[in-house]
Amino acid sequence: MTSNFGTDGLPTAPPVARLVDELHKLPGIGSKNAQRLTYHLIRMPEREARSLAEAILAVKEQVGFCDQCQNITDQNPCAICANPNRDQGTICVVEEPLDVLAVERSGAYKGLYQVLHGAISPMSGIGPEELKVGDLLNRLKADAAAQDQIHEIILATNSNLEGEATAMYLHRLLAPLEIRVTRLARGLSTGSELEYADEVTISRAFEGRQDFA
Amino acid sequence: MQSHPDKPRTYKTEGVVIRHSSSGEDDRVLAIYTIDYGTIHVVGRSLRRAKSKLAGHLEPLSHVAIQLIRGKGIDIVTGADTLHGHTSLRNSLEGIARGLVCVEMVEAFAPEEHPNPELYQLLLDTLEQLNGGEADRLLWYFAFHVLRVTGYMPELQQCVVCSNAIQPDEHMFSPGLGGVVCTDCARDGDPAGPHERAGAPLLSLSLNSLKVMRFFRDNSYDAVRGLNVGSELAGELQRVLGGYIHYLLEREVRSSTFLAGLSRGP
Repeated sequence: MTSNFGTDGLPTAPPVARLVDELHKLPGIGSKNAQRLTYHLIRMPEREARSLAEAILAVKEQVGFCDQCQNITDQNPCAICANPNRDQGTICVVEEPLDVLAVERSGAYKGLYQVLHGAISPMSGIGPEELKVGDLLNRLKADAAAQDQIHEIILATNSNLEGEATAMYLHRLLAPLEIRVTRLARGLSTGSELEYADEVTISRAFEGRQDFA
Repeated sequence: MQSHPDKPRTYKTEGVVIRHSSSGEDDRVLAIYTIDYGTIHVVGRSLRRAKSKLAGHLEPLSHVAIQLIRGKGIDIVTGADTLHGHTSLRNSLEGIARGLVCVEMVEAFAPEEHPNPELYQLLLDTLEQLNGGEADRLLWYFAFHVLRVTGYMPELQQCVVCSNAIQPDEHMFSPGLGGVVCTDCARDGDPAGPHERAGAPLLSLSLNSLKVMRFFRDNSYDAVRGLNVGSELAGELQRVLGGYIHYLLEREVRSSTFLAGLSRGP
């Protein structure tokens, strides 16, 4: 290993500087963290380092988007879309692949998904065109049989301004298809206290109140 | 961002949340336009967790009272109470888009950490009126007055090239020079003229548009609301004012582009 000056002007070996730069590109990793991770990797046994490198490559080579739901998968259609035991009549629309995991973890839903890969955020210049909204429409429009089969679309975007805007936009888009469109309940979350709730949450909780069963 | 030197270690203020973005494991960085410090960027710890007590209060467009503690790099929100959630505004896509146009304009035109009470009050009044059901006319009024209170008010009385009083006639508007160009100066058409050097082409400005702009400038929104503005005139105002704002910001007001897209239908 020849000693040299890295991009930060410090005497760092080029392969080390390169790894620091690459790690620095990851979200939430600052320059100090990138350096710390790099020196951790250098001290790691080669077998483990190789396994990490292979795992990164495998993700890039084998993982893509499911043609049907746009979730991240290593098979097409994905395991959820291909599972005949799932309720084929409902589609739950979520913002991110991680939201699918959150819903699956709850065990409360057995239908299909559609992943938008984001939410409408006008100030950041993210409109419907930047999301996989068209894929949802194509899914419903392209296959008449599918349209007959699907009886409910659940809008499970986040309960924040961007999520609400996205849900409203989708509702408007889906209205002509005459499929039942529902929105996840919004209001007080489990374990929360009324005293600390904001006015929007409380008004949504009142709107969505149900008979006491 | 350097912390404001005049802030005590813990402090309270009120403001309107402009935007939020994810940070770290479950934090959010917020941009808030405050009455005391102008636009500040602060971090809300664990705001993305479902059980966060503060998250609901710190949504964009909310008018909130906040408590903060000075951090090393960025201040931290320790408490928040909604003063006005603008709930009606959030119930429609157009309402959300109009609200976002307002906060985006304020963020773009207000220098960071520089209070402007007049701009703050204008923002609060406008969000309140939008929440009450007002629509696009109010946005143009708001945009015009954002320009006024931030020092970008277009010159509507004198020609920005020759300084002569503007006569009642068809004129041009120079986004680069920030005002009306009289017929004589516009006719010269000298490509090396000052308005060309300012880097933006002249826009045509009818006498009626000029009158409406002066009326916007000199009157309250209650008076402007009753003004009869035809669609052609509204289009021209949008072109001139939009062109001027685009020149100043060197970009579109993105929420405004989104709002315009909504009226064209999905």
